Amino acid sequence: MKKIYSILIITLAVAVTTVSCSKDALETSPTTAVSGDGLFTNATAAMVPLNGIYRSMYTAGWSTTGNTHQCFGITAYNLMADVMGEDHIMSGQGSGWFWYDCTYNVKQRYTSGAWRSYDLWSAYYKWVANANYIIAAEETMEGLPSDVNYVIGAGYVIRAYSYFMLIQSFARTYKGHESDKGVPLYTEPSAAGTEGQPRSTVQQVYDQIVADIEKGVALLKDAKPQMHKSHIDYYVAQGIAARIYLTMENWSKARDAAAEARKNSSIGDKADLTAGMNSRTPKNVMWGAEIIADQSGIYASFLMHMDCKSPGYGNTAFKQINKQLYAKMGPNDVRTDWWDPTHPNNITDKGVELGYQQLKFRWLDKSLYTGDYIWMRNEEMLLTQAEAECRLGNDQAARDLLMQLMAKRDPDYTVNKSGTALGALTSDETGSLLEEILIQRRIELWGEYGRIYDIRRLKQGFTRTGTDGMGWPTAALITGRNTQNPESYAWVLTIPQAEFDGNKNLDQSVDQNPMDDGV
Amino acid sequence: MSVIMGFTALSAQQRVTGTVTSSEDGAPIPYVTVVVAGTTITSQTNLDGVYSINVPAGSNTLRFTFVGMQTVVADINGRAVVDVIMYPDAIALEDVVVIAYGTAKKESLTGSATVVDSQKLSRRVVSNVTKALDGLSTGVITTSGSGQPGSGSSVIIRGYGSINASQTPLYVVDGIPYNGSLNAINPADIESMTVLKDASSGALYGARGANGVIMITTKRATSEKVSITYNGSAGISNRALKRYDMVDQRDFVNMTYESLRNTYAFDNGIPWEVASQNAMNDLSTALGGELYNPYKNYTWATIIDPATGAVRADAVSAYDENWMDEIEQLNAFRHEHQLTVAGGSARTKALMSLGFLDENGVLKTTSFQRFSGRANVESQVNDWVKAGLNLSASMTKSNSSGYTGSAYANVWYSAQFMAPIYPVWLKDETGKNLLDELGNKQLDYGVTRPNLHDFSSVGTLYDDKFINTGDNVSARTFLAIGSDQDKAGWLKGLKLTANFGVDYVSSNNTTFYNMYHGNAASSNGRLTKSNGRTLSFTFNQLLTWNRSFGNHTIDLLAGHEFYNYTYSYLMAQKTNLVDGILELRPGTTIADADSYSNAYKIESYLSRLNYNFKDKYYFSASFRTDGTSRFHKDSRWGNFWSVGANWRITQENFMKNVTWIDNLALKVSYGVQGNDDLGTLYAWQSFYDLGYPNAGFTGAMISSLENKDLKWEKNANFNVGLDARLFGGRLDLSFEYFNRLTSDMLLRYPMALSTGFTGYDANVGTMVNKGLELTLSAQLVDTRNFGWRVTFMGSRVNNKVLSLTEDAPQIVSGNYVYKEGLPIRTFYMAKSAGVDPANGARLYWVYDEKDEDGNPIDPYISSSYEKAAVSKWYFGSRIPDLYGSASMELTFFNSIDLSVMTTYSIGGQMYDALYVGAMNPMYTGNTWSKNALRRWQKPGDRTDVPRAGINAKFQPSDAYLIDASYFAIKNITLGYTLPASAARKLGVSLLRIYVTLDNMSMFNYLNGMDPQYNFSGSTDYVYSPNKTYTIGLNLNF
Repeated sequence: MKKIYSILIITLAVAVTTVSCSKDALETSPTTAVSGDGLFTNATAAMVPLNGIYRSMYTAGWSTTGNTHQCFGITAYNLMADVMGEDHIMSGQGSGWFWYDCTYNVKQRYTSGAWRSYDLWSAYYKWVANANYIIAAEETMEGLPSDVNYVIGAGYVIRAYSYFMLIQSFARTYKGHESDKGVPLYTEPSAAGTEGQPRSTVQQVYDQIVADIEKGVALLKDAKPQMHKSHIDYYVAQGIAARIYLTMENWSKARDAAAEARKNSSIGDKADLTAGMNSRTPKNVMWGAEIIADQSGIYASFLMHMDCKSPGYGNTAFKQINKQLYAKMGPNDVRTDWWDPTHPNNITDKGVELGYQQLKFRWLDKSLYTGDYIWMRNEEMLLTQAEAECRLGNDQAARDLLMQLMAKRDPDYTVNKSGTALGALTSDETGSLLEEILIQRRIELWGEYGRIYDIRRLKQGFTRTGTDGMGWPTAALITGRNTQNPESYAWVLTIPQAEFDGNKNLDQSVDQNPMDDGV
Repeated sequence: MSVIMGFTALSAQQRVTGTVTSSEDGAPIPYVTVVVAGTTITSQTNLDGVYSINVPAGSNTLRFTFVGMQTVVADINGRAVVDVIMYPDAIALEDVVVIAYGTAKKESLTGSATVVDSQKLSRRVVSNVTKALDGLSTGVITTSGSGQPGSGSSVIIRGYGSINASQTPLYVVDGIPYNGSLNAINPADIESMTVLKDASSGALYGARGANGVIMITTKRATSEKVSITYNGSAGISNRALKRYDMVDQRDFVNMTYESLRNTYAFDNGIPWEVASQNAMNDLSTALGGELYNPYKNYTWATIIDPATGAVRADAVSAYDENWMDEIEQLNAFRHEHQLTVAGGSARTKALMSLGFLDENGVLKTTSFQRFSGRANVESQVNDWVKAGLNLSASMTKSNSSGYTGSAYANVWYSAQFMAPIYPVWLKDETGKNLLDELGNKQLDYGVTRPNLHDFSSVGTLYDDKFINTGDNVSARTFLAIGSDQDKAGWLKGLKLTANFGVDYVSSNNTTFYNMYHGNAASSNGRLTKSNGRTLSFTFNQLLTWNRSFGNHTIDLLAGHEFYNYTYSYLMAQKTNLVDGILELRPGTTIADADSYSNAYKIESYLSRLNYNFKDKYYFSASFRTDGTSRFHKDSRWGNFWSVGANWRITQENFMKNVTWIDNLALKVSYGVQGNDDLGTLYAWQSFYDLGYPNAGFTGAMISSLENKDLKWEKNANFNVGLDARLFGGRLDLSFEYFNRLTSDMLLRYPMALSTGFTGYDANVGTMVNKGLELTLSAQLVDTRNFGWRVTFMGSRVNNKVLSLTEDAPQIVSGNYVYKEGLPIRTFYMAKSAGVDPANGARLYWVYDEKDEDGNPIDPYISSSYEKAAVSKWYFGSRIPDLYGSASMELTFFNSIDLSVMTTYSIGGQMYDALYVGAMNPMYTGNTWSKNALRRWQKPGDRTDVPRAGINAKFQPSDAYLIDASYFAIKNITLGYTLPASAARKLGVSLLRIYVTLDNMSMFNYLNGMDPQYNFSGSTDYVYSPNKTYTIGLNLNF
């Protein structure tokens, strides 16, 4: 008996000291993520990281630590920039989303991970970082050239777009501020320990943007056709180029890019415009997101903020148009359907008159929270082309372009204005052709483009007025802010604290943007 | 089975027989070892407790030994029959401490461990055992935990071990690290909890023991005698904390009016009279129209008396309803029952228990139920083999309120902040309840309420569902081969044990958003069903050798262990449902579906040496190496070790004459433990997150950066302690000092946000926790009829961050900062300079520059809150100066027992966001704290509260830091035990009835604030902790 146990003990004791699990037993990996290693070897696999970027362009929850319901990519930033101007009225604070943007109450919140400073900086730089991994595979990616170009070209355009949006948010406009501090530039993939870069000048940033967009356009010219409306193809790339050149006041390049961009789409007509602007499929949509039910942001989505059906955010903070802008439309303009001058939301129960309730953007199916997003339309390109022609002195060409659009908008419309004079304030009217083009742009692109970007590049100022003017509520008159002077820092965001915390090449005391309006 | 008998043939010998019985019940004890002292002649009792042995001439002494019984030494003195009664080894059992991979005598410990026995645990009326720890051990800080039935507390041991990695101790249940739900364990099944605080006691859990170890040992049968025990209790719960003091209707309207006026007057520069008139005009719009004007004899436009600037004195309110009253359940009922059966034979003992708990929450509709069963069987199969199985199974069901944070659907937010003018129940234009056709009151969902519209805090409790059911199975099984008996020869003391432990949890969640109000109304309801399956097992093989040679005792252990954790998750969501059916089947539209799984593994080799000389000098050493799947294969192995020594001074000859000292021991230990518990299980790897599909295309974004060098965070733990027992056991004193240094700290190394990443996981920085712990326990009176014991515990910890990254000597996180030289999570915010008497604006101390040490240069006072945002100051932290407990136990006539436990915490600060939110409301329609009534009202007012404002600009500042000190009466229990003689007449061996007031009251600096909410001094909109008054019955047959 004893012998049996002694043998047993000795055998097991030897086993204990030698037993070990197989070599790979401690190798684990998640099922919700994949290693990046294999994703860039060929153009097919590389569609995964590319589509990830496109998805994030309409999705909340990845750019900030909070307040995600106002941070859902491109349409959120367009809405943010729109309510910072004079044409897109918020009737009140509602649930608070976008209200802080609307009332210029975000810059001092730069220490938080949940406000605009952090959100915009983080979102655009995440796109830059994700694009940098794609671009880095340019030389090694296998596949048909048209497939590789489709991926790499888009990578360059995304990087150009991201820096373009960054520089417009964190510095004053390009012209006249070329030597101002811009934003840090990265063109290599980030790794653990990658050092933060100092702020490049505005000029250096635009040099990078131009280099990237030209490279992207060139690659996409030889790429396969657009696989999905959310993808950046040659025409979308030209469209983004047109936006960049317009801001840089390079009129001829803006004109050419816009003309090229329009070639694969056409001007929408009434049916395309008045169904709620929630489909990516009409002929005028160049670039947009398809929102399917299980990918909807539900509350954290553009249409939740726009549509005034209850419940939602749009039914407490009504999105309305500046009444003075609305009055610029003729009675037969199809776009008058986009707003309702007789809507009950236009008057508070105290009888205070506001702007006109928007009906332009509506849910496709509210029960599923579906409705596509539109990121770029043929009409924007046409208006860009017209503005560039006008700036180049080609008034007739500009008028012809404008008439092409207006023929589909207002049968009664005529234009015989000329010249490029603009008022110091957007409300100071000169009667010029340029002003007319811009008025049509404000109407056509209301809610879609981000009005403040135009105000800034045009170097105009603006004033909001209340009951007897535009229809802004008293609480959003921003009387204390200097939005009249184009040199103002009112709309130049502060850099988030998190950047200074992790970037030893930035010094808060000299690299932070002014906390106040600076003028 | 054969009984092996040693036999020595000698010519002159005597045959001795006898019976061995138990002192407890007189039953015979089989398998008692009988040895003729001074020889190797051994025998054993048979199943009837009878033995027979041949005693050689010259021998006169027999030694009887049996596990769990005191050894009996009997002289033969010529008798042929020697009967023996054995007494349970009660004293020895009491002083045995459960330690890593075994047990040890308390006096032999070289490290620091606190044992909390079942008697102390059973006094607390808790459904989750973590809530019972508060105040029972030095060095332990617990949170109050939510009042949600079944929920637990967070626990930290000896300070704050890490910045980014977990600070949670390792829970070990019956020797195996536990991954089940803590609320699946019936606290009544627990025999003891041992808190291992230092390296020497915890280093064998080196892998995950850095934050201390809480060893939970469940009950087992101790004697053969069958005992049947019933424990039952029933009670009522209410919220434990007072509510925040909020303004009444009249003050609310005044504050709203002033806020509106102040916006016009101060922000827009409009003259005071005009501003006042504008504010009166705006009141109706701001507050949601006349429907919500409770003063039916005035309209909103006329309610303010221009002469006083306040609500007119003769305004009469038609209703005044309190939302907190409507969501909270008064006297929520709770009852639990437990039946335990224990007993067995000499070789095999078993305990079986059944438990049932049903607890309603202090928030309406919330509840917790648990059915639990446990079987604990151990058998000395034969002299060589011992085996055991401890199996527990439980089902839990909890109904909760699923929202958190400042989501308005979180009733702890919405009901707290709902202004008092908004009625719970729908009103007509005269302010009377608007009844439905059946005459019932109807909830007001507030369609025109300015905030929290189309929502009812009460409605959501009934309309929405958050149900969790958990199916839990835990098993601990072991097989040990080996013997401590002499007959094992050279194998004596050598044992091989294989332990296998498994924890399985299947957690089912049902989340339902109703189809009538709120965010699922337009999709006709939204239902989510999810299932999480957790399966973890630990398998170890331990070889031990335990021998005594004269004055030397050696105990060696070597082993191998493998730990495996897997989790899998599956969910689906549908919309457009059928009312009343909480299943996906009738839903028409799939809105979401997801699944994923996770894995985590650790492999370990471990060893330990314990040495003891004459029970005077003890020495212990351990070494363990762990490999974790969290780190890269080149960095995953960590080495952890400890050494410890214990000198029992009273065993020395020079102490023999010091009679007033019963025991005096000095302990010292040092060792290194590890922590790999970052939030992610795949810490070192770079990943693309696949959660970004773009319509029909697979999509991914990069989510983490690779760091192959990532390795174990290390805790070097030094402990020195003095234990003393004085004056014949009247006074117990324990004093300990520790120094705990965290190095290679797992920290998110910050990167410039512009790189696209906030940082990456790396080992940087060091932090130190130093502390003192004192326990004093005095038996003040100990007479036959009266006993009085008081116990005082006090602990202190000093935390300091010693170094962070090279690039960032400080890391700012919201209102906190991690800075070299300061405690973890030091408050970092603006510094208030009072309120400007001229205009009621908050003034701040601001500065333009800082010196090299970060101290402001030439600070000055400014009202610019933008400037204040960049002029931050350091202000202390939540860490208390001293905390602990004071308790006493009284017994009268061996039948009445009374115990009182109180806890206290002195020092530290809180930033109570709920209070700050009630001083600075964000939205119109949110109410104010009563303290806001101290506001500035007119030029010349001198006060500490700025002028009223809604969503006014303000910076978090020290003006809102509140002293976190508190004193709490945690438990009062009064019991009556029927005298034994009377009990016997009733046929029971024990009958005790008791009354318990648990979590009775809390005294602190601000009504409503929970100073035990967390360890960092913030608060959130959460389920209030509860107090429970219970009566109970213990019955033993």
